[in-house]
Amino acid sequence: MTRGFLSTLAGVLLLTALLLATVIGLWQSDRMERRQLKMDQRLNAIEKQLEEGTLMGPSSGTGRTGGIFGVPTPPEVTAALQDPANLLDADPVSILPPEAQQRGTLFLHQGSNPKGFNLLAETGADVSELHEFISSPLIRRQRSNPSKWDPEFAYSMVTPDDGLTYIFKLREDFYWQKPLVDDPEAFAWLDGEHKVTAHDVKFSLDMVMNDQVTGSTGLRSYFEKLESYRVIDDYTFEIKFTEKEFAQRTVALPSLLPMPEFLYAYDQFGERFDKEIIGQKFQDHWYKLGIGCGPYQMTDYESGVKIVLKRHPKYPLGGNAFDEVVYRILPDQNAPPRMLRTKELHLAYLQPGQYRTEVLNGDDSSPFKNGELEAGEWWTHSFFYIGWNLRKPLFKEKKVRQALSHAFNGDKMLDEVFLGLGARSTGPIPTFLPFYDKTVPGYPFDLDRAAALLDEAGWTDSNDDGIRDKVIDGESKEFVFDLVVYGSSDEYTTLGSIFSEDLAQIGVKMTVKAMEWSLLLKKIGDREFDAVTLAWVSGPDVDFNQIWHSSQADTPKSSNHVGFKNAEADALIAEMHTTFDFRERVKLSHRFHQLIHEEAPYTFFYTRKRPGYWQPQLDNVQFAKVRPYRNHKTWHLAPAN
Amino acid sequence: MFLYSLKRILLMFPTFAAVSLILFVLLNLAPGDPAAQALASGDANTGQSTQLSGQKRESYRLFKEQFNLDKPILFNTRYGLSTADIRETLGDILQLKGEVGMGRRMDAYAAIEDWGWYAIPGLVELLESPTEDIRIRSLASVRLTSNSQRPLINPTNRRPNEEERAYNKKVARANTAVLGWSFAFEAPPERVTEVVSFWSNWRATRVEEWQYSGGDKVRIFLTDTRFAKYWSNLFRLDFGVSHRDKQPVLQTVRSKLKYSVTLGFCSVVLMYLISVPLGIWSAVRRNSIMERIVSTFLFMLYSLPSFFVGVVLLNFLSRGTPFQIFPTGGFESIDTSQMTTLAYLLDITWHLVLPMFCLGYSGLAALSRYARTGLLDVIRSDYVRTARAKGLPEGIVIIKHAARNGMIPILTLLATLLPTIIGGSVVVETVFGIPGIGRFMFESIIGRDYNAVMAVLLISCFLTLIGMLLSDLSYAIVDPRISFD
Repeated sequence: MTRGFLSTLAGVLLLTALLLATVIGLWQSDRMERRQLKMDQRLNAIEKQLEEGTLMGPSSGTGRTGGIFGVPTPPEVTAALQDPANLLDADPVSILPPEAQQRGTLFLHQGSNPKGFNLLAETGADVSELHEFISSPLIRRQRSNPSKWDPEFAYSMVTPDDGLTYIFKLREDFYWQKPLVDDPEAFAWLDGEHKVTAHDVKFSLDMVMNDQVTGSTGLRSYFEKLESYRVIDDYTFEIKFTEKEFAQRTVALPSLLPMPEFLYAYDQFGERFDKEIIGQKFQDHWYKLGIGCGPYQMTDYESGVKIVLKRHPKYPLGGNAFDEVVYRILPDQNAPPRMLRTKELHLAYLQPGQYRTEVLNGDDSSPFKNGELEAGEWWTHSFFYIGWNLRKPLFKEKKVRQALSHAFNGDKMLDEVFLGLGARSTGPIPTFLPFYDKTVPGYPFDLDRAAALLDEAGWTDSNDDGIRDKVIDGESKEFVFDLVVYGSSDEYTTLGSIFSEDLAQIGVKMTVKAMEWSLLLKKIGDREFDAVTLAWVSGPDVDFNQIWHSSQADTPKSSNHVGFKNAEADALIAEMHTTFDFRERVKLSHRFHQLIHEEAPYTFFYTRKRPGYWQPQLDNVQFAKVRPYRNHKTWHLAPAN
Repeated sequence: MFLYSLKRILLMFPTFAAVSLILFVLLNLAPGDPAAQALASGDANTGQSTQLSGQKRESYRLFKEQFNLDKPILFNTRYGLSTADIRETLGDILQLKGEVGMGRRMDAYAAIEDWGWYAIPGLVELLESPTEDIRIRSLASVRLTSNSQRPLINPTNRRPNEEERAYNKKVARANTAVLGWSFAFEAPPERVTEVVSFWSNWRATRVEEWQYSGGDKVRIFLTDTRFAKYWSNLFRLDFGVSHRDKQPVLQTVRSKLKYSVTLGFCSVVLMYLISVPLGIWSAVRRNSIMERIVSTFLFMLYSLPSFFVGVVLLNFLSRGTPFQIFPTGGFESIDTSQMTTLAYLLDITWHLVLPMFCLGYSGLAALSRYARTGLLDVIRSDYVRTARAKGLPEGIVIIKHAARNGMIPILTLLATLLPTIIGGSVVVETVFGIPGIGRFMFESIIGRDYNAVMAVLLISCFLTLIGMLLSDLSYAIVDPRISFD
């Protein structure tokens, strides 16, 4: 097969011409597109100016509830807040500083895709964090003083009969965010402005109380003593309980938030759901993005990539200094510190291992150490522990559990494994709360004392095999057990191996079993474990019922997974349920702490703090004392230089 | 050839069915409870659980019902449930015969819940029998109010027609009507009689529901199961809804496809572009020092795990110490709406350089070895010697005569890479933060999202079968000496 010179030449020429044409074509279309984009940008800018000019009115008003960028506080709100019967107080500190300007995009991150974006249908911590931006509850715990309540959608909360009936007065200047749909004509029934009213609060509570809404089961249990609730007028809502309980004020009422009935009660053709299935339809609603009446609106979501929030221009309370907030979804734990370095994230915290390499062992070139990033820390409402399954004969005796607590070298583990990122604790309460009794001594690491206690309890090494044994119910039993730890965390596994070495010295054999999360949940649920290390996370108030009440010990899947039963503890829990006085509550809680310490159903380990780092451009960073610990309403971006 | 292809294609159906059966059973037998996980609020990343998680049994039951998790996996024999079985299960829950482990009690709870409608005759019988332990009777009445609940028709994202709405209304009314018809242990005898007569009447009005003919039994045995329900949906190409985000799985997979295909396709092309010339070169220069050095280097690359290389590359080339050449991850920049097409293409290329390298480097060694052996096989054959003898330059001999035949095996290998291209890579996608199918699969496994895992596995199984068929056929097409007839 021979090819003539001419045809080869023609082929080469043709190819060259084609290539040239492609390049020119690309270049030309690129230029056109650029022009078009510029025009788009200009149009958008004009649109924005128009919108702000007409919607915001004079933006000079710096009302007390609004901070800057909000609307001036309406007179009825100011008046209501001065009324002594009103249980709400405006938080004096949590507002933007006067130099703040609305600008820029805030970049944060989450570790995985949220399961959904409806706060009542999902339970994840990630969804609640997003709704700090999207939603506006009726009232909110003050971030600077969690024992007080901040007005939000409600500006007045009064209780005429001292804790059974609550009447809320709602602001009249809240608007729902506009739902984003791909086909505006088909969704014309959604058009127009929708004000947030008391009917939306009622709808929301309807959904909480609906059994088909599986995401609200946890919340529902706090409304067990609910007698009735009703809309008095468009902006007044009343809720009545049959019995007073403290958790109503600390959990139930602050979790009330309006839900957009005009959207969630309808199918995508604008027809209202039949009431028989509305719960199911609400749980799996067709509108998938998050929606609310809060400072930011969720405008985009790409699974595994990002969640985009844009400022809601009609939010009256202000505190929204960013044009956009973007959550990057970063499943790889190594990504956040890397992106802090490259300024792709504004704020993140370090995992213990990263804290070690970047801060403890880092050199001066590490931005985490040399001041290129600002640093701070926040305490989490948590306590980490080792739980002993009291149903097992091994752990039935108090002395044994105390001995095991003495054998746990918590100080060393906190310093060396958990890098000092926390404080040792001795009871079931986060250490920094007033409910935590600081006088409780704890069980200092003392192997001799531990051995002595085990001897007292009758555990001796009678057959000289190096492991203690005891005759229980006529059967000789060796002191051998498994510790279940969460396998994907190196720290827990290390903790387990240090602990088992110490235990080996006093004749106790412990094997560490690392498990994956769902398997661990099942083992705990089925109560098929000897000992487990886990953590509990709570709020700024204490409610011991869920974890410690004896009625929970035999309830399947309950949180009292160690099976703790104690009459005095039950009595204290019952008393705390109906005690509203703060000092009294602290006293009862201290007694509870002492009791649990004495009984030692858990070996308590520590309360965690998290080392946070952020770009210096992010100004006025404050951390709140309540979850999600970040008080983004005070944050703003300084001008880039 | 046609007959052969037809035979192979027909054979694919039973193979596919067998694979899917095995996958389905294995997946459903894996420990872990999707319902518990979907409803528990906890943070698996930190091993913390939240205090606000007192979950109610009813929500749990509804979740199981919605995803058919209340049905047996392969065969349903619940039509044969005897009163004694039910009594024993209730006894386990109440711990009548001494203490029962929590695990067994939970299983008993789940069993009686899952039996649903089938357990009703037994429950009513226990309730009616006056000699029975009052605790059993009480529990039976409580179970009846729950087991008699029938599921509503709830087509996802479709407007229900009038018939369905009427059905839902009727069922919802019936479901509410039975609520509250139970009594506690210590209830007065009048209440007990009242409840018993309610349920006796209730059952009497629909007694034919539990009279199973032989045909009914066969139908229930085979079709009222998880596997049968799954397959009947599959025939309509409905892979179901994800347990986690309640979105149709197929839709999610489709949206992830563009990431995995771009990455997989580019890296395979790159791999071939480098490894084929490398293989030819090393065949021609076999046993020279340079060739040995290069192969050693390739094998070293081959033995480095890609998660390690990925992290090292990112740390050195992306975070600014020492270099910041490539992005820290992702498939494209966060905001691409202001980019022209050209800029967008460049942006993706820039993001994909490192992941492409990570995905491809280990294949280099293998592929270039294949290419080398392929060429060595033909380089000594007669026609190559003939080509040399007629005076052609060595280059032409290798490229034109030897390589074209020697590359046949490597060309057919391409077909088997089909599932790799589409299936994505768990490791590389996670390290580089690319939201592709590999990562989706991994997250689904962790979340016990059976429908999602099944969908991805079945799609990749299907592609493997197709790939193998194409690979066999391509042999015959490329090499006329091979014939299947």
